[in-house]
Amino acid sequence: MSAASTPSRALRGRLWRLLSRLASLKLTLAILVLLAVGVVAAYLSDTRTVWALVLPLTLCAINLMAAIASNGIFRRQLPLLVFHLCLLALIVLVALGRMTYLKGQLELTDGTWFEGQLSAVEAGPWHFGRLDQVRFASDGFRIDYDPGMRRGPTRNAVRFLDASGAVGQAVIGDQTPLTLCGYRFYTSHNKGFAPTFAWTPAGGAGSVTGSVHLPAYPLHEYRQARNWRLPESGIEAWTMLQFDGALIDPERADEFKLPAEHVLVLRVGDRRWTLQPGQYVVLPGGRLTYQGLRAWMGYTVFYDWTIPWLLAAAVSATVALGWHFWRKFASQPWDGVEVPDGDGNA
Amino acid sequence: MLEAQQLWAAVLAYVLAGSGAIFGVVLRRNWQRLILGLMVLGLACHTASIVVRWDRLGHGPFITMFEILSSNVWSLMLAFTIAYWRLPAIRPSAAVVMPILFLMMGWLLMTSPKAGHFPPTYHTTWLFIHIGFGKVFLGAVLVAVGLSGVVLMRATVWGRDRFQRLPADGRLDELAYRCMALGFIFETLMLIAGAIWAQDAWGRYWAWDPLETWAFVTWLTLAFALHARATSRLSPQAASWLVVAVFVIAFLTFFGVPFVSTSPHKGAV
Amino acid sequence: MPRDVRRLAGAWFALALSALGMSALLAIVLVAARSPFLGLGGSFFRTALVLHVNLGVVVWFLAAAAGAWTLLRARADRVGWGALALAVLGLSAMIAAPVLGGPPPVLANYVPVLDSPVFLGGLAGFLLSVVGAGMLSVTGGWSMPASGHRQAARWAVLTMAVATAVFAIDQGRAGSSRLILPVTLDDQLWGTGHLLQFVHDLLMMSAWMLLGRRLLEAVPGLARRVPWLLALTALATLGGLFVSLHEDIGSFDHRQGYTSLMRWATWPGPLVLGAGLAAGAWRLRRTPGGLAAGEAGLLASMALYAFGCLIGAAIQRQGTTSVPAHYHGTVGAVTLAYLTLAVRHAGSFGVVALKQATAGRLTLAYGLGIAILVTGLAWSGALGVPRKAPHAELMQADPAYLVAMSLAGLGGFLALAAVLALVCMLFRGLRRPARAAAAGARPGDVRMRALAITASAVFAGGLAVEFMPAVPAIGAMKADGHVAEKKRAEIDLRFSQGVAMLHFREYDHALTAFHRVIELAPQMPEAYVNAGFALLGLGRHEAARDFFDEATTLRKDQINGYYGLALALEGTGDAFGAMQAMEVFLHRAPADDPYRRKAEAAVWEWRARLDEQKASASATAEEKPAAAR
Repeated sequence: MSAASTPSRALRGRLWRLLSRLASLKLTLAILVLLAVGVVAAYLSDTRTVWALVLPLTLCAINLMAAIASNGIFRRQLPLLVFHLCLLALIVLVALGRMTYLKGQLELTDGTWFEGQLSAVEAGPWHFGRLDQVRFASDGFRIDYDPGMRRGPTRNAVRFLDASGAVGQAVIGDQTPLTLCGYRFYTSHNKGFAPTFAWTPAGGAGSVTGSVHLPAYPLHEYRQARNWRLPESGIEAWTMLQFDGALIDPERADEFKLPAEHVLVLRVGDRRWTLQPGQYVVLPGGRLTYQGLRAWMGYTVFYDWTIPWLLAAAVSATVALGWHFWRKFASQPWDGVEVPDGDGNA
Repeated sequence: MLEAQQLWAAVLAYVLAGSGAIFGVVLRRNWQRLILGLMVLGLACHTASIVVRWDRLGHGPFITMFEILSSNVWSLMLAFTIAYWRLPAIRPSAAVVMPILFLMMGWLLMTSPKAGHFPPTYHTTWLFIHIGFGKVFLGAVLVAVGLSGVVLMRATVWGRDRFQRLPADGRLDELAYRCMALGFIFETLMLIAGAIWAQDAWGRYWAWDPLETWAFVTWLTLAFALHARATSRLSPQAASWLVVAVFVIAFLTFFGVPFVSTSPHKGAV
Repeated sequence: MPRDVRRLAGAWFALALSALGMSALLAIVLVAARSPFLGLGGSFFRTALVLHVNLGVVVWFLAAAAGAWTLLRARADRVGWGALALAVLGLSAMIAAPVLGGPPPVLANYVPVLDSPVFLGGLAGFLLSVVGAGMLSVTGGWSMPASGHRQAARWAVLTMAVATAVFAIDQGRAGSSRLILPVTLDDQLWGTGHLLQFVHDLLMMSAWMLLGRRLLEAVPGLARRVPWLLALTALATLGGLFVSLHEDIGSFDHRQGYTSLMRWATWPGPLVLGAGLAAGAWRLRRTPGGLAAGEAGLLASMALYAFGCLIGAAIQRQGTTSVPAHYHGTVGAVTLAYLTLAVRHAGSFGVVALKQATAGRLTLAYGLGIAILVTGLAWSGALGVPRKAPHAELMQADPAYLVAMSLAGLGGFLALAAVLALVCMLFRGLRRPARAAAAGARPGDVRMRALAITASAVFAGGLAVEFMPAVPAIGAMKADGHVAEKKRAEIDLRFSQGVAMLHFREYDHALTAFHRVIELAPQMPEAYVNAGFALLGLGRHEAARDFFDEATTLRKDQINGYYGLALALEGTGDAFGAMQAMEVFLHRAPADDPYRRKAEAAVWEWRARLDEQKASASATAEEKPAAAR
């Protein structure tokens, strides 16, 4: 026996002991408690408490890997091992998903194209999606209301550019997203009116068309006004929409619609106008034409490429667990269960 | 009106069955066939009541607290009746289970049976799948808690005497463990189905809303209980306490969280 | 029989039985889908129906046939196993097809399909494997002395070859069809579907002879006549070759040719054989010990077949429930014969400890269930109930009708329950030795296997989810009870029913459906157009013209309305109006419209005819004054 092998064997022995300690099932119990505590803490706390979840999950992954490597049970019980491997896959996938996800919101006036700008966004540090290549336009939507202004399903017709650059059409809604480049666009309950203006600068340059998204309707029924700024000139304007009566009849089944008759109040500085579609006002620096009223729809966008694999891992885990328990229990009938002699098998 | 009468008839049958079970244990009488008959009768009336309501409103009992309680009393009774019928040896555990159901029935009769609004996000098959899995889960845990209750009560002199006819603690514990395993699988399935539904309905599969959070905590507790039983040789009493703990958390999740928030899932509509 | 041959044939039989079991499960799904509060939608229903028929008839019968042919070959080599592997692959593709892309179901008459490459490819693979197994049997055991049942199996191979040839011919000719209406999938599968009936017929006779060997011997001279019966039945299929070669696919004559072939040639063989076997049973009625194993099932199968034929002969009106009564009877007879054989010979194919008595009773229960189902359907058919129409539309309060339909439901339920129980019993018996072997083996290290399973399950599952389009049920289900919603649902249902009926060329039912749609949605031009096409099919050109007129008035861009209008006007003899309407169609139809070519051809033809008429009219005009003089 050479001298060199002795320390390496000692080292190996030490490593093995460490591994078995990491694989300890008692540790698993502690980690489960820690995870539960972390979940509750994260839930109750108002501040960002990512670490309350990340730490126990990391420990859990280490514990799992060590157990898979060293625990004899996993060498014999195929379904049990598959279940635990699936759990490991879940943890890894969730981690990857959190690093690369994106969640955001946007609003779109009917007839205009989405060109990659979100109004609110939250994303993982490794999110490198192709949102800037996504193009879609809203062609109008329909929302039915039950008596009592209970909102029914939203049906929103959209046009989009598919991967080959051709224009496709679809109807999306609360539960049927438009999926482009992995981004899922859902309609949200936010929607409202969008007065559309054309701004023609005095210099004779081409006019710019844009719309102002008034606060969501019918959520902010009595607050249909907002401040906005004219392009380039920096003129601050205030716009309010006025119409008679309730648009959505609370007494009967109805649907979301634009007001048939309305006036638009425009205030710039201390000057005030009421406008009908087609009318314009002359402001310092240009002419502002009120083109008419359209609707806007709010969307939520969600990107997480791990979803299908998460689902597959979760379902596989459940199937494996069912398989494991089936094998374990099928050998003895339920109405004559004997107490097992207990070899520590899970 | 018919619907309310049927519900009352069902509750009456359940209460008679439960009282029979409790007094049967206390007085050491064997009324098992009668109790089973009453349970089935109650279930029949209850089913009729739910069907009538379903037909009248055009949607299933998933919206208001009244509906959630009613459908859960129904599913729990169904789960327990099946166990009662198939596993004659454990029938006296009805004396433990029925009081829990009495609690829910009392609560049910105090809530308002007014109809709620069926939200647009509920127009999906996942509603049935998600809720169905949840009901199996809770039913399995309920049977387990009945068995564990017997084990725990047998620790007292009074209980040892009364629950003599049941199998030994070890066997009850093993059966409870099987129910818990079944419950664990179905709770996992419930979470998966819920996540799929949430992805469809709200564009995210998991967002730690109160119900999601507590359902996950329940899952962790259940995992803990199963793991603890496999890892260290727990005494039947200790294992039973774990079962009770799981049931309490699951019960609070199912009925406590919707009670404090306005809809089953906060912001779900 | 060598053990490996038995294993291969047994694997084919197991495949057949699993298809039968799945088909029975799907039948339950079908019933559930019809129940109002699941509301899974018409497309879901039809998809399940397609799978039910394919698994319950095509796969079940043909996989069993392949098993029989494997036994005939008496050899199991790589090619034989390869054919089985292909069949399994094909079947998996067929089952997976509904979730991959949500293909539209096409309810063709004999072989309904899902119109997707995955399903059609799977079906083709499966059929290819069965044809392969049949052809392989030619190389093997044909030199062995042939008893009656072997001869029948050999004739079935020949019939299968003819069916394959007809399939090839029909596909080839479908490409160069000269008919105005396009050739449908139904047309393309019409001939093959009919000839497959002969394959099933011959194999059923084979099963009967195997089961009734004792009865066959009890009738002197019967065994000598059997080859003639078989040859007559099998050679009749050559008539199919004639039809396919001489008639245009999709034409009335093509369809009628096959219908006549089936009407006159399928039943005499089995009926004569059955009568002979029944005579044998009568002669042996006093022998001690009563019926031998499987003979009760045999007699039940023969009775069922005769019953089915009787109803078939009595079919007066096409399109009543007598039609399904007839085919459920005959299909049930084949299934019953196979199941009886499966129970009797299960032991030879590795099924352990099958309770023969219980299994035998289950097969008889199946037969009884089918008999009740057939009675109910035939009875309601006699009352004139149209087939494939849901209960609500009929609104028949006639108690006789209700009793008849309840009878059908009861019988169907009994048959399903018996089949499911039987399949479970057989598979449980099959698994038992495997489990015993697994328990005996020492468990090795499973970690690599577990890793492989996990990785592939997560990866493949993820891919499947990623590329699976939205599950049809999501969002399609409406649980609210609003009248408008129900109305919309009924319109959808009736409309799709009407389209299906139109496809089946059952024009009067299609017309009924579209009338109802128009009643519910008087502003829907598509309904008018389709009603018009149904009227065209019935030859009522003037009524059709009015419907197309209405459709194009309701919507100027309803271009198929102009197409139909042209055909209707042509039917009324107004070639000029027809030409004008067709020109409007050509003017408005997109460049890639599939009907464009035919429309252009029609316009060209009509114009030629008009020119001709004009020429002859001017000729007569010139002559007229002369004649007056």
